[in-house]
Amino acid sequence: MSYIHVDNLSLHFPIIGADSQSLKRHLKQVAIGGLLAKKSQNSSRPILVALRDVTFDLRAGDRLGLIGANGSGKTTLLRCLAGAYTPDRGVVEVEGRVASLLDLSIGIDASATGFENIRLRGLVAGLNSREIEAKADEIATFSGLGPFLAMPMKSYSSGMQARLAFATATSVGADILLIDEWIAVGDAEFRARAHDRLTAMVNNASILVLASHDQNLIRSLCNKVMRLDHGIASEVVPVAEMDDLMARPTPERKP
Amino acid sequence: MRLVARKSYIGEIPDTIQDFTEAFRKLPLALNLAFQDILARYRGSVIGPWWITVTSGALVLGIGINYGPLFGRPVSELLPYVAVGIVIWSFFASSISEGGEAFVAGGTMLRQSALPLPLFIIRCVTRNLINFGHQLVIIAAILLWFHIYPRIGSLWAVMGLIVLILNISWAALFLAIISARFRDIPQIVSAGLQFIFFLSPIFWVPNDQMARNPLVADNPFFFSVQSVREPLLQGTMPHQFFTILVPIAAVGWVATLLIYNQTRRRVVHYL
Repeated sequence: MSYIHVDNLSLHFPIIGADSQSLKRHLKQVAIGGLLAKKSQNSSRPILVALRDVTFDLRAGDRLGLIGANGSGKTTLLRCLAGAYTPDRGVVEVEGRVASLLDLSIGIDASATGFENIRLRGLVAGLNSREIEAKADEIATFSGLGPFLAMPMKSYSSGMQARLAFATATSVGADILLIDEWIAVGDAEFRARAHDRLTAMVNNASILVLASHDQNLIRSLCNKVMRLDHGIASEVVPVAEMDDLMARPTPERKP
Repeated sequence: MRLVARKSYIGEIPDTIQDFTEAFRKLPLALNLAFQDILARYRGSVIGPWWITVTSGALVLGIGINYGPLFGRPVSELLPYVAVGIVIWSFFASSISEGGEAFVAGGTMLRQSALPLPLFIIRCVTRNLINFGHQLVIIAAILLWFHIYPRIGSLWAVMGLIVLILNISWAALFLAIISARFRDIPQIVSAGLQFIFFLSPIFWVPNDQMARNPLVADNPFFFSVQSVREPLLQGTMPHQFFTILVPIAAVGWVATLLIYNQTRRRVVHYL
């Protein structure tokens, strides 16, 4: 049975400006004694706390909507759940096959055709060639792209790219689906079908985590909601209480 | 999947081992990405990756034929020497300089999935191996032309190639890690490789006096090429293969794994 267990998760980013990323600056710091000493007195470079003590549990059938202002940590949390970022404190446990729709361009070669990109995405998602072969027709039909699938991806609009990405990610037999915002780029017809498919998947005991600013999208797809404020998470509440959750004051910002 | 905070350097070792086993388990993905890289690069081109063969072939013929009189060597001796030298060197140099870009190039994938880092090194080395395969035609054609046929000692070239790939792999992994953090590294590496190409006897033949110079006698870059070239041309393996290249492969891999174990979590934050 798939589940997500996140306990006291904290994540820090080292902040590296374009300048300090160059070797010259680093060498200078090593070469000049004063700077080096100063650096070791201060606790090194500034650190961004992207997530702080986030705790929640999701079981099969849960559809969690993540809300919060820009920079509140929604995408970072999704990336942690996808396994791209490892925690600096705490535990992330994810049981089940994960499909992430965080960035439209994953594994995508713009000059390759739609079919080639289905194959690439399928491989990235962990399918083998035979499984992809078996699913390609279904993905093609669901995407509704028809003859465009034989054309290079660069001729697609972003909505068409989203269709292909969504069709592939939801066909790989994922137990857990992580979606960031952009599903909204699809047109009304596709959104309706996407909605049906997501509902079917979740009824089939999958878990959905969706980050969005669109409250209507969250209301229509999710049954639970969690708010993030500069890396601090609220508790998970039923989607009916979203308005109360939104109305809460922002938690105090402590360094 | 269970991810926890890093406990200690030693506690990280199982995760490092898992990264590598996972990368090899996902070998089909790495091979497909490598293949796709080549497709993307030469899409619309009629002869595709054979253009690399043409480019290297032009360089080999240019040096091999024109520099013969300059170096006082007959073309029949210099051309095979240059052909093997240039082809091996370009495999070596392009793998290493592209190695530095391996994680940066895979950034979008690394930032949203749990794909292991070594997978992107396998992708880079395989892509270069495919290109290298296209260039073997040059070696085959020139050896045939001058009636240099394989003999039993030529099999050493296979050993030479295996150790060469081992050395390329650790160097690419090492450079990929530090290049993610310091973006000047790939530029420094390609400038350095250019210098080493002229410094080492890749396309010129050292005379007896030079052969004792440490830049020739102990030059690992020269012997990386020579450990494939000498078996093919003379059927023997230089002893430096055992005294220099094999130890470098062992030490290089151990050192790179130690660094990898320390940095594996941080790399993705730098991308």
